[in-house]
Amino acid sequence: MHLDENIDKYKAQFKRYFLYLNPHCVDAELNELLDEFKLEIYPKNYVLLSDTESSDMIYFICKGLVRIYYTKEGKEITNWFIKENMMSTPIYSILTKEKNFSNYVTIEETIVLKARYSVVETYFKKYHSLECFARKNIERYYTTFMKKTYDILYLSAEERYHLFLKDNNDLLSRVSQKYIASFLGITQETFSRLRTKN
Amino acid sequence: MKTKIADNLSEQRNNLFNYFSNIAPKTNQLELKELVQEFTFVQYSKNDLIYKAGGTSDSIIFIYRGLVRLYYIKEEKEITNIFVHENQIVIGAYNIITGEKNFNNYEAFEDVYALKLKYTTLEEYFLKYHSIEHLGRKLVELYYTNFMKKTFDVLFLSAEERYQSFLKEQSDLLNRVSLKYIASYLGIQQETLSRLRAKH
Repeated sequence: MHLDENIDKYKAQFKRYFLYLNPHCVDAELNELLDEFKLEIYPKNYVLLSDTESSDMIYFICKGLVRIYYTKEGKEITNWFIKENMMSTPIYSILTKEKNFSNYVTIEETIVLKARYSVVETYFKKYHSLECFARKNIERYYTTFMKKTYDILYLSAEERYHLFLKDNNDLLSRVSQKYIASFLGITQETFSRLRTKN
Repeated sequence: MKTKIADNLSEQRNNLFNYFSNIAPKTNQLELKELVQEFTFVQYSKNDLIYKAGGTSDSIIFIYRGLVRLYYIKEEKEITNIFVHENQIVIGAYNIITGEKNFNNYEAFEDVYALKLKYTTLEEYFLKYHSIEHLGRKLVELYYTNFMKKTFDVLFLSAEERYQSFLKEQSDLLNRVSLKYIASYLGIQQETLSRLRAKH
C-alpha cells in the first residue's frame, strides 16, 4: 500500500528524534526498537484518547497535527498541539495508570508510528543507550510542561503571543484561532487584537 | 548539633540508598552504594535561600531533617508552590535540564540537614551505569507526575477537595507551617482555609 511504501522514510524521521536527544544511540539497538512500531494513518477529528480512558499507546507524529484539550465547566481548554517530529504520549496515564485528564484528537489527517509503552520500555531496560534517550525524553516533557505553566503565570498575553509566533508560526495557518487563543489562555478578541497589532 | 548529625552520615547515606531503592527497586546495589558514597553533608539555616528564582542550581539535595519551601513572586506576592520535607529531594530541575534560569526560590523553612551531590557527578554515574541511568529516569518520572498532579488538582478539584488531599498526604505540615503558607500552597484564601479547618 501507498502508506507502507514510505515506512523507511518515516522510521528514518523517527530515528532523527532519538539521535537528537541522545546522539550516542546505538544503531542496531534503535532498529530493533523501531521494529516494534506500526505505521498508521488517522483521519481528521479522530479521537486517539479521551479523558475518561487510560492508555499506554504512544505515537510519533510523522505528519499531521494532534490537539490536546481538557474540559472545564463545559468549556474546552486547549493544552497542547503535537505536530510533526513530536511524540504524543499520555504520560500521566502511563505512569500512574490513572485515567487521563485530557483528550487527544487529530485536527488534520495524521500519520503516526505507534507502539505500546510497556513494550517500548522493555528496550529501555535492555539497552543503556535507549534508557539514556528515555531519561532525556522525559526530562524534556517535564521542562516543557513547567515552562508552559510558568509562562502563563509570568508572561503577559502579548509576550505569550510573541513566543507562540516564534516557536509555532506554522500553526497559525493550520489551526483555527479559537484553539490558539485557548492555548494562549486569552480570549479570541484579545488574540485578534494582537494579530492586527503585530 | 552539626557534628552529631554529621556523625550519622553513614546512617543518612543508608536512608538515601533506601529512598533510591524504593523508586527503582532493580538498581544494582553495588553501583547504588558507590553513588550514595559521593553525597556529602550540607546544612542550611532557617530562612537561607538555597536557590534563587532567576538563578542557577547545580546540585541534588536529599533532605534528612528540615523543610524547604519553593515559592515564586507574582505582583509582589509570594506564592508557595511546594514543600519538600524529610526523605525527599530538592533539585532545581528546570535550570539543570535546560540551562535556563530557575522559576522558583528555594528557601530553608526550618534548619535543614541534607546530603548533597553535584549534578555533573550524578550525570557521570548515568553514563557509567545503566541501572543508575534507569534510576535517573524513574526520578524524573516521579517529579514530573507530582508536578502534573499538582497542576491538575488546582484545575479540577474544589478548594475543599484540595484541602482533604493535603490532609491525607501532608498532614504533618499543619504543625510545621503557618496557615498563610498552606493557604497559598492550596491556592485559596486564608479565610477559606480557616473555614475548612473548622468544618473538618
